Amino acid sequence: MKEAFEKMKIIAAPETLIEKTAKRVAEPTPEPAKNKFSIPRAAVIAGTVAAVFLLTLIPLTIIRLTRKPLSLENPWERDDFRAVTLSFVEKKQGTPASFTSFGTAPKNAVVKMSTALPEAAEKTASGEVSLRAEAYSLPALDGEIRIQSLIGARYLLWYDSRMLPMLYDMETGKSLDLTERVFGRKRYLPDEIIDPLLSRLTASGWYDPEKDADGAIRRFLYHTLQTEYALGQLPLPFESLEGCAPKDARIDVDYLSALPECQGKSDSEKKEALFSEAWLVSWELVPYPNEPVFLWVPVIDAASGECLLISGGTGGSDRGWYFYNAEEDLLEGPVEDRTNCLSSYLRAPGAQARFTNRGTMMILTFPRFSSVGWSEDPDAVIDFAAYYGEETGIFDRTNGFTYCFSPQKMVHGSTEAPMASGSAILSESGNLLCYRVAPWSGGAKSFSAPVGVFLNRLSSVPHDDDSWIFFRLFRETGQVMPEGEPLPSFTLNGTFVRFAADESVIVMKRAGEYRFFDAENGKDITSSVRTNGRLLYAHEYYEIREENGTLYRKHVITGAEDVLLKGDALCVSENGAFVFGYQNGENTAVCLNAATLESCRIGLDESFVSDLTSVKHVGFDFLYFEETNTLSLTFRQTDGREAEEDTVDFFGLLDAPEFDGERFDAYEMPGLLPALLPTQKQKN
Amino acid sequence: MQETPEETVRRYADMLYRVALSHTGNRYDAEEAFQEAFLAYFRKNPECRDEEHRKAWLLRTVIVCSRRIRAKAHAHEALPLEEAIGETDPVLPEEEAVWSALLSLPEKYRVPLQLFFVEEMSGAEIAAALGLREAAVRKRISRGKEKLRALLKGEERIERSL
Repeated sequence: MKEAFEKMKIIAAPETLIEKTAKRVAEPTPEPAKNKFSIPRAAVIAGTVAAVFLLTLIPLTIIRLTRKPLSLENPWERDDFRAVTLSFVEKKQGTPASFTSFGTAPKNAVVKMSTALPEAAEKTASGEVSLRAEAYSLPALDGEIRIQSLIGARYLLWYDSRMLPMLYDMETGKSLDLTERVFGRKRYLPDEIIDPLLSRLTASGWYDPEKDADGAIRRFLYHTLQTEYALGQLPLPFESLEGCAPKDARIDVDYLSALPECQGKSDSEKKEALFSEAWLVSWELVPYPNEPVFLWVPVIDAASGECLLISGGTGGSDRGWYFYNAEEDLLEGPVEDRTNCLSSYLRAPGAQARFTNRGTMMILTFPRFSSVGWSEDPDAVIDFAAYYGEETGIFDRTNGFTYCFSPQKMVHGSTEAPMASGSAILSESGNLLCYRVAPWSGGAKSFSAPVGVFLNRLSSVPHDDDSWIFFRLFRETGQVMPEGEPLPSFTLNGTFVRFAADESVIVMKRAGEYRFFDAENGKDITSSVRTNGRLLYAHEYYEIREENGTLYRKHVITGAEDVLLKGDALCVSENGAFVFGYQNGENTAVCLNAATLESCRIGLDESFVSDLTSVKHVGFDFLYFEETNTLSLTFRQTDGREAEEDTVDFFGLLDAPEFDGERFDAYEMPGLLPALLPTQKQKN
Repeated sequence: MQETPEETVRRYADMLYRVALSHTGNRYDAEEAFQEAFLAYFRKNPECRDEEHRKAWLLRTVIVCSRRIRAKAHAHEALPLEEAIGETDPVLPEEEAVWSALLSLPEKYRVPLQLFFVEEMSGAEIAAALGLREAAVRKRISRGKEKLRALLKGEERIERSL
């Protein structure tokens, strides 16, 4: 085969092509042609506003006389401004009963309809919006109606003066009481909840007529209410979307299908995702601190779930963060009708990122590099940065800022300031940040700098006398605190164990005893948790540790500890919900649900096992990729030396050296996932 | 002395052309991708640390260009090897079979295989060029070889049965 490949090298670029190309590249670059995408955004918006304004002023009588449908030019074409004009005619009097025009730009989403429409009113409608006569026989017209949005030219989302959100299906004439759908009963919600909720629902463009709109709405509302307003007690719909910022996920897209599809194309094992208005962008994290870093960016259409584009690019380094602007690829690629551009980031070891506020804000913490290197550097500091994507989803360094915490004053400033070395752990949502504070010889407290912090994992063993400072970030306003103002924070002593999955509880350990604290205020709620339970998933009640080839799990309430698994290679999934193990010489690997102990075995390839057994001094590495439900198993030659104990750093596993590409294999586990999903705790 | 544009084109011409060819499957699209990649390079004038970096940049770009061109669904038929290498060049059956089999492989295997065996790039270089981990590249090469071998064996069986 190799010889045949050798002969393929005779394929050469035609001389004429080379000459033609050389000639073209030598020519001066022409000015890019003006196209519709180069129209200034302001002009587009102004034009759209003007058009809507004119539409609003069209006399209804003209519409009635001509009976021509209004032209609705795809009201959902643009993300930043959507407009539709509706007309109504009151049958009995033959005069317009109401005429309303509304735009669904974020700040102009609500239009008041002041005139009540009688039940038997005949309405005309036009264009692509096929309104039926009964479409506006709304059941609550005795008061002021606020139409929030027309969704997908079919659903009218509105709520009445009682703040009862309703969804009207203009195709079927059915009304849905959204709160009833969500909570099982009518529930009147205050303005401060329903307004942003519906705005978000409108702005998110979640609607897809081909999909289960009713279910999507329900899930969306439930998800939002539950996560943002702590209403309802049902499981989150995105519990298995690990690492994908579930709060920012759009419910209408089957990400669980879309992501593996893209992963299949890009082979990105570890991704994070940015959800913008139009796209989902995820990127592979390439963990080579001293090597060129390249970015692999699949872009998923948030409306269809289709993988639009996979783009590779070179990142520029900025203290461990790598920036890549996918704008050009996007504009040149199959999504050229998009006017927004997206940027993405790639991170280096030690850095963390979370997207919050519907993906419009990215929070980073990262160690500042020095000439010594990023690890074990006593002078390393932790920068904390927030970048804003605004409505466009663009994350721009110039638009963001970096600031550091001052441990003594507990305030932050907008300029970089000296700070003791430290490290931070971000919660899954990015709303909670904790810094570990260790005693410092100087007398004052400083931040310690454990190496390889990744998410909730720590590579170094914290001590009971550590102090942890917890900050709650941006949750309420989406804005940072004004410069110089004290940060809302509290300090807890002991060993940080984990944030609860719903981030309402912080689990600490002190003198071998687990304590629970309210994540809002640091209040000790241990007795309440022990009595009632506050953790969402069963696996959260266990802390897993590895010692001498054995995984132990310890119940954080009872303190009972038992052996979970033994093996030559062991692996705990990132969320601690399941573990994997392999015993040297066996032809299967075992998977175990850490809470329920449900297990299954994965048959390994015969040749793979053969390779394993034929090599001496072998170290193993497992890596389970939740998104793809793939278990990767690698082994490496250790030259007789003790295999370097792996850090719990995720990237440490990825970086395991391989002596031969043949000694790497990955196993798909279809059907395995349900058995391994985190198990929700049964309510008492 | 600074390299002229033509010298740059010539330096990477064959490699980029072969990659474009294997991506697009036909000469016409390959030539388009080839030109687009070089035009993009000279237009953007990316800061490259060294030759390897520049090589990786061009490789990724020609792959992206090839994908985009292919996505436009130009209905060109896959190019036979003899056409790709020139009608005057002799084509051995084995080469033809490998070429056909290679083209039939999914992109994720085809490109690493080509870069590894034809362009003689190392795993690290391929990983850098494709934005993959080196382990993933090796895995793809390994699996790609298996798939290619299986395809060629299949052809062999067919030939024998004829």
